[in-house]
Amino acid sequence: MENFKNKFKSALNNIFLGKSEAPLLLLVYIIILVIFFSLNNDYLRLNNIKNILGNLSIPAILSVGLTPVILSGNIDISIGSTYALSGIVVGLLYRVADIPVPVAILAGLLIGLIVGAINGLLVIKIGVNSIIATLGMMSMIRGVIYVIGRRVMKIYYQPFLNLARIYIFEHIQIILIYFLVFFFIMYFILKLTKFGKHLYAIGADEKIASFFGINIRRNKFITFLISGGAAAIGGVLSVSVIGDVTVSFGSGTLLFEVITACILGGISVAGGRGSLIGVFVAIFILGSIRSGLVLADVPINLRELIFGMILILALVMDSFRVRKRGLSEEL
Amino acid sequence: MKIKKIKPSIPLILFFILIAIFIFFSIIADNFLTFRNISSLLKNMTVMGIMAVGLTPLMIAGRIDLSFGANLSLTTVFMALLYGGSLGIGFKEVEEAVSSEYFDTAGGSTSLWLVVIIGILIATAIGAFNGLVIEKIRVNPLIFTLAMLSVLQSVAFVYSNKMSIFVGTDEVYNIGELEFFNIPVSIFILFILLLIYWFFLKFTKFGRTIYAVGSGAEVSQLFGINVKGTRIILYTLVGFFTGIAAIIVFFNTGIGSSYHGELLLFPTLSGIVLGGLGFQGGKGSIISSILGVLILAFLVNGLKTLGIQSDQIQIIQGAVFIGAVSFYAIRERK
Amino acid sequence: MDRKIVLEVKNLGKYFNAIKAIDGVDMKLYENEILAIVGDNGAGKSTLIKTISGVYSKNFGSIYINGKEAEINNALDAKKHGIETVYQDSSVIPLLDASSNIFLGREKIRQNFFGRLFKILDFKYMREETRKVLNKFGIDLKDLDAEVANLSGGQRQSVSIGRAAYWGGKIIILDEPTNNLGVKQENKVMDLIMKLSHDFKVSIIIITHNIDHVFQLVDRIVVLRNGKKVGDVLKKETDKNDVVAMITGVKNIKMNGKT
Repeated sequence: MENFKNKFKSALNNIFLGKSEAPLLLLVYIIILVIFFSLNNDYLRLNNIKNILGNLSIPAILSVGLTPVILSGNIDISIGSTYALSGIVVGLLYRVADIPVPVAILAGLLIGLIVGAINGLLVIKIGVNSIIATLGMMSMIRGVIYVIGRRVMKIYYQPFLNLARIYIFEHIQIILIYFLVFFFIMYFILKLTKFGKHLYAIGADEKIASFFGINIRRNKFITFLISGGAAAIGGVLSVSVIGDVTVSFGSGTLLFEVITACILGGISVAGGRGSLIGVFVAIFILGSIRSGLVLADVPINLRELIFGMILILALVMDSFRVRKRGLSEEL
Repeated sequence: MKIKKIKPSIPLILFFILIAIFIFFSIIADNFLTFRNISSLLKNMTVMGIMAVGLTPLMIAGRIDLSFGANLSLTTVFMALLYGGSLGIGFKEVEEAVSSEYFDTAGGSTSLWLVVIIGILIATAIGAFNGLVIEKIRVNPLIFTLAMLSVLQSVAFVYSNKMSIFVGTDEVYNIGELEFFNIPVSIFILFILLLIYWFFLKFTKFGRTIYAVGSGAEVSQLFGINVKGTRIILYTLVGFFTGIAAIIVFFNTGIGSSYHGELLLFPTLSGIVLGGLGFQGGKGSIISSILGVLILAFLVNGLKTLGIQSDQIQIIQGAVFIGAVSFYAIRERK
Repeated sequence: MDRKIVLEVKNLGKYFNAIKAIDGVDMKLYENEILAIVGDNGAGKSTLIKTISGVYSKNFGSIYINGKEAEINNALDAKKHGIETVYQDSSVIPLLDASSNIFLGREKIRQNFFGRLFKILDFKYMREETRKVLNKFGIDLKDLDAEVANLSGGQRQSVSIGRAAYWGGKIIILDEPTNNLGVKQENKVMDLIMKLSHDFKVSIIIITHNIDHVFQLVDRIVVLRNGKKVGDVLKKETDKNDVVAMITGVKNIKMNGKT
């Protein structure tokens, strides 16, 4: 009996404070589904599920792209504006400069990489704190968007619209597929390649990582390219989904949704720990909560407040996890 | 406690830059060197200056707060609702109350004094909350205050339905337009706060404690300094200063809005980083921060009078921000 | 011996979860002696002195100061009992100047009304006192306001050691005082330690890896291994090889000259 109690206690401990966030998150997820279903029976209808999946796909791509950055001990808060800038660039090039869509798309993606490179430069070469650097970039990019994007740009080119709008097997939106593909690639990279393992090492302890010959600078730089690129992909796909792009494209809550998914999913702000699986579950949880709140007629302002508090909760939980491992006795 | 001695000193360089910008725009732009323009400029920058003064000691102690803008917004919203009598009613009612101007011009339904006191209390309490969570639970300060920014902003949105709440009665504007010797009261407030904080940082034990905590937290702890307590106090003070700034904004505009703070956040931060306030602590001074805010204010104003549009100015502001942090980061490495 | 025992620990233990950093250590420190604590990495030297100086709180055992049992739960408690510590890397704050470091946490306040109200610092007093204590160690800083980071390693240590002496520490603990210093600086620091012992009449504990320094400086040597004491000998009754053997465990336990 004693033995059983101990095992039970340690299992609870593991779930709440330790090894993997996924079990706890799954539990929470099920509870959430039950709650929202009871509030509005439409919740679990096929239509709504398709809705949820479609809405979460693009922010999910950004979350997956942000994960390597956080794992290696940094953060990139410019992704929201990079996302917007890429979309604007595609719109501009196509509508205003009459450049063929494929080229415009490439340009949009390139923008993401360029922003990522600049971020990387600032953080790694010059040594600016990553939040500060990306905060500055975010502000500057927002300014650029306002300067160059002061018009509505509608895109009627069907192949481009098809990029993100077609359905596979009638029910599955293609952006979901894009997300899944990206997710699996990133999962593979993080779990199975040297690069991925190095990122975890860097995030956990830079000094030791460098002792082992890991090229910290290069690896960190690459993570910024990834987050910038993912943001750009998201931006381009979004334009395809929406069909037009304006200055207000991608403002506000996107950034926080993306960050919340990462941290709720167990990617520690301190770096070096967390798994994409957790992020995966967190993405679905957040998407489901969002849908549930909408269907329960919760006003938008309150919805945003709830999401803000979820982020705070995730941060606090992350704190406790880090402390439990005895990592931070720091001041 | 002396400022880090480097020849030449940062405040001096900043001062010269300020003079240079002043002269530059006086020559280039026609409407720059008018009494009206300069006084409007100074009036606008007092709010940023006050928040910069409040933030400086916190950053010297090695911490950051990104939520002060949202704090200010929220405080003005609550003040407006309280003054206008519609606080405490449901969300739908707020919608109606906010969209109709049913306040008469004489005064609001709550005493202005009470409104001011509650405003300061709210802002200070938010600061204290930040400090307590960050120091006691030990969350990452940058990300947590970023999250608080979102939360506070959301609360402000909830209570104002994303609209501006206009409560500009005569009572309010009379105070907002108070002047001593033709100089707005707010500038005096800034000056006094500046002086007080400068004095404390340079000459008292509290000030030295702040520098010690910022440049050597572990060692300070070993020698009996209450590192966490100090930081909590500083976070609370940031809230307090934000409250004062919120009050000034409230009286100047007569509006409670969830957008006030958003506009002030980045320029204030830019001013502070221009002043060399590092995000690693142990260095900095009130003078440098104020000079930084002034430089930025003059720069933006000067560009405006030259006819450059706000969007382009924002790009320049972002560039200045990045340039300043890069400059100091490189200097740090040497 | 009839000498006074200024510090004694009995059966002192400190665990970190499963790791038994120190596991029942008995040790005495006599008045005015210089004692070395040596041992391999992980032997427990650092933990031992950190427990004595209040950085860690003990799990079991007792600490006696001048014969009376002492409760030491934090760094301040230790200081109250006259224990001053010089940690590795001097435990100075690099961006502050010498007098700020020496008076860290114990700043002198001006004694007038406003001074006491706002806790205004008495800069003149602190600088003067700093100059005096550094002079006692034979250090003459040209620029007393310079950031300690800009001083040489030896000068930094003098600030740290001067601080310990200034505040009347009767028991001064030095944790790897010559680490990360060039040879010239090392010798300067050793001079400082000698001065400390002769001029200030204090009892000193030194942790060091450097066996040569041990034999130059100390009166007695305590050897730790795996959290336990495996050697306690007078310098004149042993030699380097002996000590190394005890550190590495090749030789058996040797206490007070007996194996």
